[in-house]
Order: sequence, then C-alpha cells, then structure tokens
Amino acid sequence: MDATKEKVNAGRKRCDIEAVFRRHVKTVYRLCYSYMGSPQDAEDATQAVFMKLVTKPREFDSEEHEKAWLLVVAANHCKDELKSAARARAAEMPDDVADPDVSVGASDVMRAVLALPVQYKDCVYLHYYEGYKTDEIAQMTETPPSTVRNRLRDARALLRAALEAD
Amino acid sequence: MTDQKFEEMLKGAYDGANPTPEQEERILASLVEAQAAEASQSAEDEVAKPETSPAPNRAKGFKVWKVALPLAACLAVGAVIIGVAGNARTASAPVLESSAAVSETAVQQDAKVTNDAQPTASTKAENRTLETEELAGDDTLGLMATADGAAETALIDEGYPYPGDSAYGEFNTEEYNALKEGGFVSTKANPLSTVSADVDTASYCNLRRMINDGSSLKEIPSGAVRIEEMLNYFDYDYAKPQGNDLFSIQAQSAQCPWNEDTQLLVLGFATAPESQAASKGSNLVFLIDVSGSMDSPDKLDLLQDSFATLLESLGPNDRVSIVTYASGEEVVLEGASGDDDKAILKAIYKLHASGSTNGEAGLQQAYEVAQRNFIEGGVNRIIMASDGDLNVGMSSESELYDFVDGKRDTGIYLSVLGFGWGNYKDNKMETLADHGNGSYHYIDSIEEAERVLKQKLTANLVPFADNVKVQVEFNPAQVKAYRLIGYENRELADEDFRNDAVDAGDVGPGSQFTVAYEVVLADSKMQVDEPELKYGTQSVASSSASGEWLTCSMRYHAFDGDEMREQQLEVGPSQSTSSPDANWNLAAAVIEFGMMARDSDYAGTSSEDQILELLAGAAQNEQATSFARLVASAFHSGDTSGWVVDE
Repeated sequence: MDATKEKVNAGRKRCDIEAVFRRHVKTVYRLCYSYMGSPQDAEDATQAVFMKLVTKPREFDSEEHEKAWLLVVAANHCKDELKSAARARAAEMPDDVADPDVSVGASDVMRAVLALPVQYKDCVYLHYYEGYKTDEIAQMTETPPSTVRNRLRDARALLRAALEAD
Repeated sequence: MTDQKFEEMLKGAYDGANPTPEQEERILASLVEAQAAEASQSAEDEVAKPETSPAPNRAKGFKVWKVALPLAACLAVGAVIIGVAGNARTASAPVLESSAAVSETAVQQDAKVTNDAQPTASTKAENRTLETEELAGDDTLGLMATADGAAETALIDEGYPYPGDSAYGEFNTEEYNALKEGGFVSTKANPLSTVSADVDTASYCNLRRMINDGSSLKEIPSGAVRIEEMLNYFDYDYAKPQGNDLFSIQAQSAQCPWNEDTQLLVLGFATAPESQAASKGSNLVFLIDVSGSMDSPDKLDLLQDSFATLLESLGPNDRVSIVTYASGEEVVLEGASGDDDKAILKAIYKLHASGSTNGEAGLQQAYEVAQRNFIEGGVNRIIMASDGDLNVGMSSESELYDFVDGKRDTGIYLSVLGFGWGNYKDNKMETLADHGNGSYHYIDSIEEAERVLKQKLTANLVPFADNVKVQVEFNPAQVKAYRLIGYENRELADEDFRNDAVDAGDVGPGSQFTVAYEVVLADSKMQVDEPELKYGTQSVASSSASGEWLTCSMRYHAFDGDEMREQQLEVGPSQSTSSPDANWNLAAAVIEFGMMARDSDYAGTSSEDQILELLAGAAQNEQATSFARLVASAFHSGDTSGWVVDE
C-alpha cells in the first residue's frame, strides 16, 4: 500500500473508534489488569485509555504506531490511578484496616506479575507478551535502553524466585 | 525452570487476563456514546463559528501540537520517572536487612549532610526530617507487609503512598560527605585561590543515575553534587598544548547568566593525546567487591561486563590479576598475560556475590599482588570496583586514608569505580581514589563503563603529569571579589602551591579539566564585605596598575623530564566577550544545573529555561543532547500529566 493511501486510511480510521477498540482492546486490557489487579479496575482503566481517543481524536502513521500509543497511555494512566488511589487511602483509612486483596481469582503466575514493583510492569508485558525489543521499549517509554535491560533482568529474577518458591 | 518454560508461563498468565465479552461491550458502548456526544458538540461549534474554515483550524491544531510535543515529552518522562521513584521503596525494601536501624541511619545521615552544608540546605533537612516523622508509623507497616510476601499490599502501599515520598528518602543509606559551598572572597583579604586538579567524573554519572531513577532535584543530597566532576564529565574543544608545555590553558569570561553583577570566568586545561605504544606494559590488579551488597544487575553483572570491555585494549605485555573480597579475600587470578582473554573472562564471570565486605583485607591483598607483578617503568594500577560499603575491618574514612596514603610511595596507583545505588558510599570511594593517586568514576551503564575504561582509564594508565595544582592570583585593582565554583574538597592552602610534598591530582594524556570562577569586577554594583585592615593593604605591586584581572598559574610534576614545571596565563579584558564560545556555554549550563541540584545560595536567576538556552549555545553533540534530556527529567520528575509516544 502506498503512503498516501495509508494516510487516508489512517485518517478514516481515526473516527472509527469501534475499529480501533476491537483491534487493541485485549492488548490494552491485559496491561491494565497487570497494574490494577482487578477486572473492575482494569475495565475502568481500559475505558479511560480509549476515551482519550474519543475526546481528542488523533492520527496514527500505522496500526503499530496506534498500538504503541495506546500501550504507553495505558501504562501511564494506570500508574497515575495507583498513585491517586494510594493517596486517597492514606488519607481516609486508619492504619489497622487491611488493604483489600485485589487479585482474588488470579493465577499464581499472574499473582507474581501483580506483585512486581510498578516500574517493571510495562517492560515485562511489552517484552514477554507483546514481543517488543528492549530498544523499542526504551523508545516508547523514554527510558535509557540500559535501564530497560536492567529492569527486565530484575523482573525476571523476581518472577522466577516467586514461581520457583511455589 | 528453562527460559522457554518461564516465558510460556508468563504468556499464559496474560492470556488468562483477557476482558470478558460483556466487559468489551460495556466499554465500547460508553465509547460510542461519548463519541456521539462529542460529534454533536463539535457540530454546535461549527454553527457558532461559521467563518472558521476547517483548513486553518487544522493548521492551528497542528502547530499547537508541534509546540506541545517537546513539553509533553518532558512531562511523560516525568510521569514514567514518578513511577520509578514511588516504587523504589518496594524494590529496596527486601534488600534491607534491618529496617528500623537502616531508616534511622538514613535520617541521621540526611540531617548530617544537609545541616553541615549551608544555610539554605537546612530547609531541605527540616522538610525531610518532618516527612520521615510523619511516615514513621506507615513505613513499618509497608515494609513488614513486603517482607512477609504480601505483595499485593506492597503494590498499592508502596506504589505512591505520599506526596514527597522518594527513591532517596528514608530507606536510603547512601553516604555523602557534606560539602560546604565556597562564597565570595574579597581579593583584598585573599587574592590567591589554589586548587588541586581533578579529572574525576563520578558525580555527574551518579546524579544522572539518581535522576533517571526518579529523583527530583530537591531529593538529591547536596553532598552528592560536585560541580567540578560534573564539568569534567563533558568534552570541551580546548586547544592542544604548545612546545614544552604539557598543558594548554584557555580562559574566557562573559556576563554571568545567573548574576547580573558578576562575570563567569571559565578556565580550561587540556593535555595532548599521547600514543600508549610507548608503555612498557601495564600491571593491572582488579580488586572486585563480591560482597552480598553487590548482588544486583547494576552492580556485579555490570561490573563483569565492564571489565570484559577493557580486555580488548590489553596485549601480551600486560599482566592482569583479579583479587576479590567479601568476608574474606581471594586471589582469583594472578599475573595472567593481557592477551589471555579466555582465562581472564573465565575468572571474571565466575564471580558471584555473598557475605560481608572486608575491604581492608582486599586492599592489602591487592597491593601485595600488584607488588609481586610490579612492572618497572610501566603502569602499575589497582582498579577497585565496589559500591563502597566496606563494613568490616578499617571502615572509617580516616583509617582508609592512612592506609592508602601509606601505599602511595610504592608506585602503585589506585583507581576507583563506583557501582549501584541505595547503599552507595560516595564518601569512601572518593577518599580512596584521592589518596591512592587515582581517579574516581561512577558506572551506571555499560556505555559509561566503556567510556571510562577505554577512554578515561587508559588515558590515565600512563603516568604523565602528577601533583597538578592551579593557582589564580587576582588583581585587587581590577577585581573586588571572586567565588570558586565547585572544587570544595579540592582547595589547597595557597602556600602549598610550591610545596611539592603536598599531593595534588594526577592528569593523564588526552585529559581535560575545567575550573570556573564568578568574578566581581571593580566597577560592579555588588557590595563586597572587605576587611578593615589596620595596617593597610599589602604593598601595592606595580603590575596591579595593568589592566589584567588575574594570573592563572599551574604547577605539576612532568613525567617526561621527571621535573616540576610551571605555566602561566594572564587574563584581562581581552578574554572577556559578549558572545562566549561553545565551551563557555556548556560550562555555564553545567554549573547552573549543579547549583540548582545542590540548592546553592548563589544560584541567582538560574532556571531550567536558562540552562537549556545556554546548552543551545554549546556544541551540539550526543553529550549535550543527553544532558538536555537529563535536565528536562530532573525538572519534571514531579509532573504526572501528559501522554506521549514518539511521533
């Protein structure tokens, strides 16, 4: 397909939120779930991510670009959500009330993923599930490649330790 | 578990986390609804403003986006970084052995460093102490939850618990020596300023590591900011030395960007690159910390990769030994030929970390090995790699100082490479390198390892000039006062300039260093406190009537003739310009950033914009670009809004 045609198509797709949604909903939802840990929160986060395309429609060079954008927006959104949730809880809840166990029903492996420190989650998902290379992840998340590599190594060690302990 | 099995399990876990069809339909329904509402809204807008044609609208939108993009990029970096900062506690908590003791130490250290430092820093110290007190109750809870393996709690609790929580907060046991920032000095009281040369670069890399890990400028301990090391990290376009001189000296002065009453004088010193073929070989002893605290990808793993890169530049004349230390010390490899890559690599990659850190025993062993393999007329150097936490044996700074000092006459140099974070002992590392006649670098990535080991360290492998001192004499008739920027722990007593028994920095071939002053000229509006001298000023020398501002002298021991040499450069109005060159602009940008990072009393009108503007006037290369990115990250690590992917 030549470039102009692709652009035109991309422009048309811009308005077609349903098509974009169908293409990427699973990808986005899985990432959100790995941050939020509950189906309800993951659903809310997924909705918020796609909603950004509705309120501020934008063009993408390709479906790959569209997907990368959604993934970065999703990761950022979830980090923000976790942050404000933690703040709200710190303000409202007395110290001795236990935090809700958000990952009821998750598999052992998913529990290990959910237990990862937040900064590892996007790297792990992007690399191990979506198959992005470290350099691509570095570019997407604006992190030095060496940092991405280190995080992947750390995360892998943590996950392995958690899984082998079971 | 095999890698393949591991990856399959991971994929399977994500596959199990798909949305249900009901969820998909619910989300889609609300999206479609929102889009319809959006469409009717924009239709109303069209009616309201019929004169606006779609084309200009789009063009306008596009321009705004162009402007917004760089800004958004900064914000997004900030957002990502916040994630890291907020969660560093999760990452660090399991590593800590004794939570209560550690966090207490951290508080004390914070207080120690900042209180000693300077008046403005006390605000910082108070804030931190306050935060720590407020957090005390919750901290214990969060930490215990993590230790118990209740990771879900950790996820949320450790995520972003409180505003101001940071990677460099209460669980941090990094140590930095307090640096008292020098102020303005009246030239009548003291016309001389004397410093030891410094080619260390550690401070910049350590700062970069902290910022990339999510620290904002406010969270960086002032003691970690050594502006001279930041200046020296960068490459400047300095002239080559002429004739018998080992150094070229250049000076440029221009209106100080952050203080309208002063001039910023940048003095650049450079040596000629020299071929290393003449070397009679190197005797390198790698002294590697394999204690438990080094067990991390950014420590031992990175260190192994780093040393492997150095092997490429070694040949049959060179001898390589490896000494490791943890609870005990061990000679892993002794006197291997520099081209025996296989044996060396095997020894390096066999290392693994555990136990406490008996640095003393390790150092002693390394000096013994270096002595046994001594190459007369060649390079004899110990390269020590550690996170600096020497917790067994003589671990106070003064004992280390005495020990390393005592070894200086052996002709064996000691260079120090710093690794890791969270428990990083900057003070100990710098002490070691300073007193071991060596340089000090911080390694935060494999790229930096290559830069240091291949360029900096091999440059410094060949003895070239040592005891390098710089003395500036200001002319009180032209200059009211001056302020030395950085070099806080490199200042020498003026009378020691020609006292060759007093040790100073070593500089290798192909090296550069930069010294900067803020200079208050005689006609400046700035008020300078001048001493009332009962017996008048020192007799006025006849040359003070000249228009010269100052004379910069340097003195060093040159290895080529085994003699002390001196060089001088007079600086006056002719070196002052209204359009400073790229070197000056780069130095000014680095200084401003350093001053803001250490919350300097003298930062004046320094700002992010000004730093970036100065950088725009510097040579546009990779260093400048990555510095600009670092500046943006540092200033926006608190922002959480804005989304971006590369366009």
